[in-house]
Amino acid sequence: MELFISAARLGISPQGVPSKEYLDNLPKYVETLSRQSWANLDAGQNQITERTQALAVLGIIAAKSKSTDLGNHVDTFLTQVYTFLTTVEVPQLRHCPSLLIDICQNVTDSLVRRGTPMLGINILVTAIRQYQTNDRQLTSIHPNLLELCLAASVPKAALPFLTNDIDDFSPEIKGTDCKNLLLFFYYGGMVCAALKKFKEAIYFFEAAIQVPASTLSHIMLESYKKLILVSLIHTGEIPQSHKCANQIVNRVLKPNANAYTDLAASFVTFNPTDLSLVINRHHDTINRDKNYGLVKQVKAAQTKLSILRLTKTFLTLSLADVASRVQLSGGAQQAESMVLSMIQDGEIYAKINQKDGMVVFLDNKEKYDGPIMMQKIENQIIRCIDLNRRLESMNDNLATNPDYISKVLCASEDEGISSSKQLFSV
Amino acid sequence: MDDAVGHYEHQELSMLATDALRPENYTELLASYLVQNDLCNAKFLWKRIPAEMKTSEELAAIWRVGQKLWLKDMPGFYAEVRSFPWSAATAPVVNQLIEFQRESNIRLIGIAYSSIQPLDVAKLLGVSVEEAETLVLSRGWTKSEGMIIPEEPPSFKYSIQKTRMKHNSTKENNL
Repeated sequence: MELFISAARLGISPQGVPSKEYLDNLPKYVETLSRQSWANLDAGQNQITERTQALAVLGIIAAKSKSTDLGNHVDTFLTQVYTFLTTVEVPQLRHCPSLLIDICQNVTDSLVRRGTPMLGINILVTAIRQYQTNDRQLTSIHPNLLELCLAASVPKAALPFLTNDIDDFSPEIKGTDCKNLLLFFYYGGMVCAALKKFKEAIYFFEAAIQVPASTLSHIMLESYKKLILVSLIHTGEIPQSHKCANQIVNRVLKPNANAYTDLAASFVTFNPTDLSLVINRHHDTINRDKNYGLVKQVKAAQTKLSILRLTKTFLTLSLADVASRVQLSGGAQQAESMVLSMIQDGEIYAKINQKDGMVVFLDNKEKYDGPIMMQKIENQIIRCIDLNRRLESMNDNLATNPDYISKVLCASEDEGISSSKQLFSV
Repeated sequence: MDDAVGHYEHQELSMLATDALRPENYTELLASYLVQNDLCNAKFLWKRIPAEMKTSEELAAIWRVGQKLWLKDMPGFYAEVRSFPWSAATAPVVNQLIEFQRESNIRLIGIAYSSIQPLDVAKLLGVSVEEAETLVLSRGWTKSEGMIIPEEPPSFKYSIQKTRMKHNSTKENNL
């Protein structure tokens, strides 16, 4: 411990800037420290009082998070981490990202194991906000936070991290394998599906299967299964795979998700008895994948979609006819309450006439001229302008990137075209 | 209302033992979600409330109300809100919830029905048949051959004016 502290005194300048040598050695120090006793680590942490030495404190916290003794000190440890994160000067955190990432990973693992995931949410939210350089930056801590939110049944707390489009990656997530990226999309999809934001869920699951990877990850397979289910619930169709994911979907994912492709095939026949049969046949698989809740919603979506299809064919229909065409067991009364519920949710437009037991299907009354619609359009336009602005600045960055320029130059020289002129005219 | 939700949500995530939510706080948060018609978050809140808190009778009662809303079982909803003696702290939120549900159901009937039996109106509004009739007739709905003929609600604020103008002109025409 004494060695560690004196190394920090030598390695970190009074302005709080660590030497390269110190940074290289820090992970090794932490590894050794993590085998020390908890009391020792506590004492060491208390000895370092200078704010400029925060990196050394971070090292001790990282060592604690790795310690086998963590289980006995979780509560005090969490408070220490939280206090540290809220008081530290932000640049200090970014000197050695791997320490912070490790702490967050270990906190997540141990809290999920102990069954108290809720305790870690605030810590990780603070860690992300402190560490990221802007709120559109994805970090390796994001998937940890989403995992905690799901485990603690607090999906709402994860939403602020999912609604921003991501256009930047923290340095450490770029370097590692794509596991963190995949997990972020997979958990993100699950959070959205839990809150019935199916459109967003489809987006996340699709993103997960489109991550370019040379080997197939199990996360992609699970994402694909859930993608099928949420697409059926939201659009009633089997998801069309994007051309960059086509090969992997057809060759690897589809054959491994038999139960779900069967389900989708049965869904589009609009035969509820057949769908029930398929669900029963794959009951075990669905349960094992923990997808039963979504499958139940798929079943309900089929009934709704059947009614929706009737509105495309008929102008008026008796409620009894609706019941028999959609194969509802509850007869006209069930048909009426289904139609009512769909009108309530804005899924169809219709008028029920109880006097003669008929339902008249109408067109969408929206004339796109109200203030609410106006505001919607305005918001979309603002988003698009913002996106355009960010794309332009990315483009500018790329055009002045030395790596990119040298690559383009090489490529055009190979083709024997005089390059500089061409490059600068672009 | 939003403040209360945000406040409790924040407090729930706090690590300090002094910040731990009490059953009555959970009741208020759950009721607030229901008033906002945010059933998804209400469901997840119930899921994560510690088991020892769920023994609170009022908390359990407010969740039974939530379950009825989840199932869109309106008669069940009115029965549940009436069956429990709400505490002074919860009663205003529950009343707000009843008011909200009744108002949105009147709206829904106006949109979804061209004719409906008085009994069904009463079920959706949680009142007696007579009360239901007086309530909707006072809103300009009519009754014909024992059926209520609802009036469609105006969809936007500024279109209220439009419909008023139309009403006036038809009245003038009738004159």
